[in-house]
Amino acid sequence: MNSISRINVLAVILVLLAGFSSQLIAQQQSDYQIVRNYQSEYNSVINSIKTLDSVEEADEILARIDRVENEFSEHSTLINRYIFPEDFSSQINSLRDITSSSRGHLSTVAEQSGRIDSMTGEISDLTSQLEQFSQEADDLRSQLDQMTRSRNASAAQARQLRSQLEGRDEFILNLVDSLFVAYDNLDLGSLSPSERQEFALRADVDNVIGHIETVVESNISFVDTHTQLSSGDYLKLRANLVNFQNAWEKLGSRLADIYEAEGERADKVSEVNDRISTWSSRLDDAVWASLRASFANRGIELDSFNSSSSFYSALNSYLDNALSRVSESGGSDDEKARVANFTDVWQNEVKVNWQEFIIDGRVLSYENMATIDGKLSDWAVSAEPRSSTWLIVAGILGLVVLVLVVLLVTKSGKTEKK
Amino acid sequence: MKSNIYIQILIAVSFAVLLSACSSRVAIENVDFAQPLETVVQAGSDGQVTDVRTGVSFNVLPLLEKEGLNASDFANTDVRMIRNHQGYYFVTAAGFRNVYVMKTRENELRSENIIRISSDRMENPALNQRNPYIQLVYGDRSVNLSKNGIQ
Repeated sequence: MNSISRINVLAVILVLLAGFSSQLIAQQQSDYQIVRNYQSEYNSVINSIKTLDSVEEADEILARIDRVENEFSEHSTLINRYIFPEDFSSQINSLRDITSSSRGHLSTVAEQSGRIDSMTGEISDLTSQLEQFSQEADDLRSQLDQMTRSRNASAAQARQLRSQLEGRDEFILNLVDSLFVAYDNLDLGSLSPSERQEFALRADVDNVIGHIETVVESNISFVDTHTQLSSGDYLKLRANLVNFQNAWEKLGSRLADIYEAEGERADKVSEVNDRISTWSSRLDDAVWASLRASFANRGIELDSFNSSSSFYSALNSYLDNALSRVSESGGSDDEKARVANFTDVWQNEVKVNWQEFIIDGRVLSYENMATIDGKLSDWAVSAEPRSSTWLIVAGILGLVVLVLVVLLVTKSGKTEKK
Repeated sequence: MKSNIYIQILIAVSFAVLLSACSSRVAIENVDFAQPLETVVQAGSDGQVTDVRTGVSFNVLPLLEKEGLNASDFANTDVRMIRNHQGYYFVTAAGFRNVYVMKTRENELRSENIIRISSDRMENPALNQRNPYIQLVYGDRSVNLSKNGIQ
């Protein structure tokens, strides 16, 4: 029994000694090696930070900094002696600050990158939609060219064409909005030159400029091939063009910023500007010709016009001439008929069907339209012919006055004779 | 004759006192030379070692001779040295059996003591400052050293 208890005591002592000696062994390290190990870890973390390119990597580095801190904090006094004038805590804190700051920056970039990914997907969808629209438009155009059927069939085709136009309108606005919103959210000021370069490359890969050019070219082609649209349709297209131009003005400058110092890519932006000018010029020609024809078909011959301002001048000139004519010749039934005709066009066609697109397309402003309304009212009042009843009443009154005068003269003559 | 001798002694003592009073030497006491970390520098093929941080440079050939080592075989081996609180350098290296306690003299390191550590050559020795001792770690063992030897 005694021998067993002795063995137990010896075993406990041996275990304790083993633990103690292992602790001694653990403590028997070279101070120099500890400092070297710390410096090696520190430099390794610094190098990792230099090549940091994702939020996940930043999180890994932050965890690694925590491990380094835990591992070496007990040797901080020793390390401080060696890395003086720096110290262990400030180095660890600096590593953490730099990594956190980089993480924040990378997070922003990733978010922006996500936005661009989403935008790119949307552009791809919209582009394929555009191709579908273009195909349908070509088919429709072909059918219209070959159409030899009844008027009803023609009207149905026209309705289909108008419906297609509305689809295109929505598509273009969606595309422009998507592009603008995505790029407007990019904080370009926060990007380094290399990150800008990366976005430029991505924009190239995603063919952002290419998609925009496709939209513009498609619209030019649409205007060139669809020459039989109504004035309302053309005005609607012009309103879309103005919206597109507004968005492109901002988007284009964003892309130009991304492409700055890259001549070839910057040229692409200016190429798009040129093509938009062509689109605008072709559409304007069609708009003015269509408007001229719309007024002429109603017997209203306006002075020639080829711009918003000259269109407004032509309307003013037409009304001023009418007012001048009425002021010289007075109202008449013919003049009333002219007023009624112009009013019908102005109130029922222009204001009811076109006003929204005239305003959005910057053809006329609200003030311009109010001025035309005012002159039209003046013309309508002046155009009323003078009533014959008024002339009869005036004649009777004149006769009464003449009789009274004769009576007064006769009476005064009798009085003098007496 | 005797009085002349006394006068000469008196003059000599007075002169010595005067000289000591006019001396420009200053002594600073209680200086702690303890170097917190050992210096580790690689030996060149000629046995020369240089610590770029402190600028200390010397040749280890006399130590290699004592250890029975060849300079060309020793090239690129880490020489480790550390200064204790008294100002003695403790020098050793992988392959040494001893730690050399060196005292600084004018352009000279002279051994104050050569501490025999083991009959086998040490593989990875390291020196730590454990004021007032220098700790020698080699293999899984460690000993505390002073200029007089193992403590």
